Amino acid sequence: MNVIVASLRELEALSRRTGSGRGLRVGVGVICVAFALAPYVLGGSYYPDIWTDMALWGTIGVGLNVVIGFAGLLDLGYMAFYAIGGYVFANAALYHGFTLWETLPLGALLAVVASAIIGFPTLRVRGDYLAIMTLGFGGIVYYAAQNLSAITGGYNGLYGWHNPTLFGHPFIAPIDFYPLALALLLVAALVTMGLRSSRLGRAWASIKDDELAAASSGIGVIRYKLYAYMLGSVWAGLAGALFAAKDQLVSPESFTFNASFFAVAVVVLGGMGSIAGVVLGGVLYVVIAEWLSAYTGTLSGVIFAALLLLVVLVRPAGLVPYRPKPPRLRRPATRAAADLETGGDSGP
Amino acid sequence: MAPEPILSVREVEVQFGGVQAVAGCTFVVAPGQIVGLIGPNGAGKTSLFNAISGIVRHYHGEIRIAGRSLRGLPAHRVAALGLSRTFQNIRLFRSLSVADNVLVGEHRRIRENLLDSAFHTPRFHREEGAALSRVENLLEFVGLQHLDPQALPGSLPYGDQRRLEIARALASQPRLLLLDEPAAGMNTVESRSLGILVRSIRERGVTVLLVEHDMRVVMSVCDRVVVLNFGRLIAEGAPSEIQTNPEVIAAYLGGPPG
Repeated sequence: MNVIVASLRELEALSRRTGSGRGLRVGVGVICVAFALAPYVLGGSYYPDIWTDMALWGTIGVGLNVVIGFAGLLDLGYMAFYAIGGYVFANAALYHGFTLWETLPLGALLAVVASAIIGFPTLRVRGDYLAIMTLGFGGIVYYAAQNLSAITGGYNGLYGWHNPTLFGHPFIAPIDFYPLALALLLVAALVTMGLRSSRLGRAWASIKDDELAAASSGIGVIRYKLYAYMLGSVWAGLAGALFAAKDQLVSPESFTFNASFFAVAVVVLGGMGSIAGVVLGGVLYVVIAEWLSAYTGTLSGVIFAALLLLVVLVRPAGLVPYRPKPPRLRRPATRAAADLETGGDSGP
Repeated sequence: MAPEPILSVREVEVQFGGVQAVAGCTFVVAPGQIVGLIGPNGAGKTSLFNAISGIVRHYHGEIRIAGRSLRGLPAHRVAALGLSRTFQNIRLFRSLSVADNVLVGEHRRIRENLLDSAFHTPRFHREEGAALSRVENLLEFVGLQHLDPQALPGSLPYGDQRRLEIARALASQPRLLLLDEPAAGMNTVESRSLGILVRSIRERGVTVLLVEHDMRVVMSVCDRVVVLNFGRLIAEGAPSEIQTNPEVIAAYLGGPPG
């Protein structure tokens, strides 16, 4: 794991030196290709789910990162939107004969609509209160999933729809969904990366730092928090629909408070604000929760918690801390580049 | 007839619990002026600033910017009407670079929709490029051209942080700029050059209202001075009149009025 972190840091440094981000792009490209081919090359795994789950949890990390990492809002009920995506897909597939391709946008749309409805009153409160209200929302969705049997199938969940096909190729085994999940992760990573360095991303960062100064600079704080909430939830809605399609089952147990907690842990572990970081966080979570637990049983939860504690104590900014990309000014940046190479802009 | 005031404050009262921070203030600021708002500590200057800039929204009386009432408007809507401000205890965005701090001030001027932001369309690059060159000009204008635009504000000397905050405030192209103790903690040389900056801000067509304790700055820069004491307006006039006003002297030195 240290090797991964070290190489990511190396890539960051490289991209800063070249100034164009080309090094980083090439490096990320290599990692993406390796990640994409890994399940086919390694093959024969007892857990074909694990690769798809890594991509899905990477997407969850990327989505929640918009809310927590970019805008600084603590959301303890994020997986509610994952649940909404899952149940929307299951209902549409089971009762209305929609295919996955028609349902993905619908799941995303409903997750965004739900986040707007929940966010509108909730985002007016600050800090601790927001955490409590989102926690409550996550709980409501979980219990609704258990009890609203008419649309959720209750404890047993929903299953038994036809598998999706694409150009005559059926998606049956979990590994069939892997390219889809990976594509979703890639799109989520690229889009949120774009948002981060835009007017929207700066507004979020300013709110995270100082709401009063942000408002005085003309930023409608509540509105921009709502945007962060909506643009974070959309990825959970999409990932949730894919997850349901892959598992061929949605049931309440996938959307417990624990799941929302782990989503937050993934972001904190990886590095708030850092895309590479939260993807790594999601991958690590799946490795520990699914692969390692086959050998260690419930001990894997302890191992994940210990890792989280260790990171919080030793690397409080996460495994791959976020370093802002320098803006492109016309002025020669030689001095700035020198500063960065000696690490003059921040701590160790 | 006098031109319409850029700012008019009428019978404004601000209360916090049982404390009457501002107790009925009335004054106007004409466009193009530099007006000083002075008074001993606790006189209500910052509370009045907070009411004008929409941070404190519960007040009695009426505040208008260019004739438009600010009643009920939150801070970002007040900013949209052309008001911008700095803070007594500098409030820069600590995790954003020097350039990004000023770019946040450009927020309302940059035209990007969601797709531009997400996919960095040609329009995104056009808008960001134009904003960045405005930021460069602003940094130069406030005397920070020597700064590394990627530096974090926490690493800057105090005076530079003040100037950076002014640059951020100017980035939104305000009509009225409120400066809350811009010369606080500055030495004589620094505060003199700050005074020059304030005057050059006015030359850009921006009206300035400033709270300041440094009397050299107030007397050398301001066209008019408004004096508060215990939340009340006790004097108003040219700096030279204020300096000799017995009530003002009494307020500052603690003697009986008159």
